[in-house]
Amino acid sequence: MSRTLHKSLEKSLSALAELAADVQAFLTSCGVTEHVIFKVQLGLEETIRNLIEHTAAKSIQLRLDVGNDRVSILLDDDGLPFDPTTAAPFDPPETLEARAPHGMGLHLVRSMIDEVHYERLGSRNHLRMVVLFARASRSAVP
Amino acid sequence: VQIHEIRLDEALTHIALIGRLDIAGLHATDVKFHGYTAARRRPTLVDMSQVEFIASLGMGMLISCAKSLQRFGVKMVLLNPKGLVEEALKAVGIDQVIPIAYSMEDAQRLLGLASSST
Repeated sequence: MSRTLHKSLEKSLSALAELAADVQAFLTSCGVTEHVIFKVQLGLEETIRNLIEHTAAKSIQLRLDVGNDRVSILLDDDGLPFDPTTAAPFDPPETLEARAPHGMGLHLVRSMIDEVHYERLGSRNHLRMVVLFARASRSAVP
Repeated sequence: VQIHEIRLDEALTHIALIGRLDIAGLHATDVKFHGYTAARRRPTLVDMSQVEFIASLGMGMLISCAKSLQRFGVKMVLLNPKGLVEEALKAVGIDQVIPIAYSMEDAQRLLGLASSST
């Protein structure tokens, strides 16, 4: 048995802040561990912030599916093509002086999220991220 | 996110971040954190043990302030990040440019302070 959350997101950073609270409440109600919730929240914050800041998306749809062994995150938007899976490899400077305070988000996603898949279908971006969890670390879906 | 003052004097800035370093938490914290750290220009110890979540915006805040401090010849050290917060910091190499300490003794050494000064 699985449970699903659908959200239509406004293109604003304040909406992203509100989304975090909704996602936390939904995943907690599904019995998902804090460890998994952390990764889901990280994936959402980094990818949606990139969509808001770097594409002309007017419509962003989110679907979260909680299954027996995973949370699947589906983001669908009408912005310019944006494929986080092909972003340049992260190669930060070794010194603090040369280090920029930005440009880390997509690398965080690729490092911390178990699966990231991208498709461009027509005029829309479809991004699917998966966070896996051990069944024993999570209570049964109500 | 909240900022808790632990010690603020001529020798050291020691504060604790408490809560979530996400886009919502940073909105009200960025300027305040800069005031506690970069603006004071003192060796700075940031207790991360009560940070529950961090995203790249929060890491950017840490880098910005650590760079500002470095321009004045002083360091920032992060103390005791936990679990996935620590994993995320290391995933983007923050620990390579802002040292992470797991004890006050290590923190004092990394900041170049005598152990009696904290």
